[in-house]
Amino acid sequence: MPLADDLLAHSQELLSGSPSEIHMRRAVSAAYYALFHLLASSVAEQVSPDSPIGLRGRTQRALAHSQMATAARNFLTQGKSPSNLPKDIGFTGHVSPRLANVAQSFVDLQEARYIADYDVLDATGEINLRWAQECLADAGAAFRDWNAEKDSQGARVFLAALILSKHWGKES
Amino acid sequence: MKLYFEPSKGDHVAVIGYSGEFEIKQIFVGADSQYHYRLASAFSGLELDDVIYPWLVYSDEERIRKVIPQLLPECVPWPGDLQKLHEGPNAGSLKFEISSGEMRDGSPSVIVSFFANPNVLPSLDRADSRIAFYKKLRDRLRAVLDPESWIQFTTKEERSLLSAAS
Repeated sequence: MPLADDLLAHSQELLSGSPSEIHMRRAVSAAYYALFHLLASSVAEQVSPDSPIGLRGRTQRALAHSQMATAARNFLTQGKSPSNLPKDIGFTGHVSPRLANVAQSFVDLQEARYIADYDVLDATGEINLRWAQECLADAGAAFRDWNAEKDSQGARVFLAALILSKHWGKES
Repeated sequence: MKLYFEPSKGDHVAVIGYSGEFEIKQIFVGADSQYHYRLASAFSGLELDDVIYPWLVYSDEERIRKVIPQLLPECVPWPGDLQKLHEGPNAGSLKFEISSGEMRDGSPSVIVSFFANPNVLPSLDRADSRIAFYKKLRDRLRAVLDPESWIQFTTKEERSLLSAAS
């Protein structure tokens, strides 16, 4: 089973029964990483051949979480062109509702993952079972949306943006 | 759907030329036949007796607060485990509160919190239903707000009266 699917299943396992706080934190973190790896493996598949064997792994390692979130923010408004997209890419389509959901979920889950992993005090009382279940549900919905959307031209541009958009400001 | 953005009594606004937040205390028609506003600062107590509309500045937070009750009827069915208001002008609608915060990268965010009914047990199915509802509401909010505005949804847990008393 791909790592992304394993992580999503792991997140669900952690929330079964009566989970402790540490299970909830780890479940949220796993839900984020499930979506991260789903997108990272899709990026690698799109931009690297499968031989030599280590090339796609190296491509995935080149992805940076914060840059991916910055890129995802440009794909939030469904029915409109992605923001900050260079015209010479030639994508004239609009962001679909499914792609907008994937982009939104990625940024939201990344934020939740920081709370789960680093907010030791939980002063705002964020960490509870409903929150953890919502994060898992959000990741699950993003998986469904991505699987329905992944072959579209918009999805290809989205994947390219996740790894390259930082360099798209360069003059040719 | 046409949304109603007219200033109302109780709205929290900024005023051009002044710092801090003011509450609209009174709306009246001036000698120029236009609406004028009497405002009071929530913090300093400063009162502005006669302010005209172009001076009022609505934050994203306040715009969302005004718009959500108008958008909720479009987002039915509501998740069954969220609390409803029992009194006030929006009685029967969902209970929510708005706050502003910063995301980890420093970008501003408006947080919309709904309240879970403490007597309904959490479940993944219910979380699915809330996530679908929040997405629907977010899509409608995005259509009326600055595209750069980040909106997060949370479900707050309130202790039931019984457990709070024990």
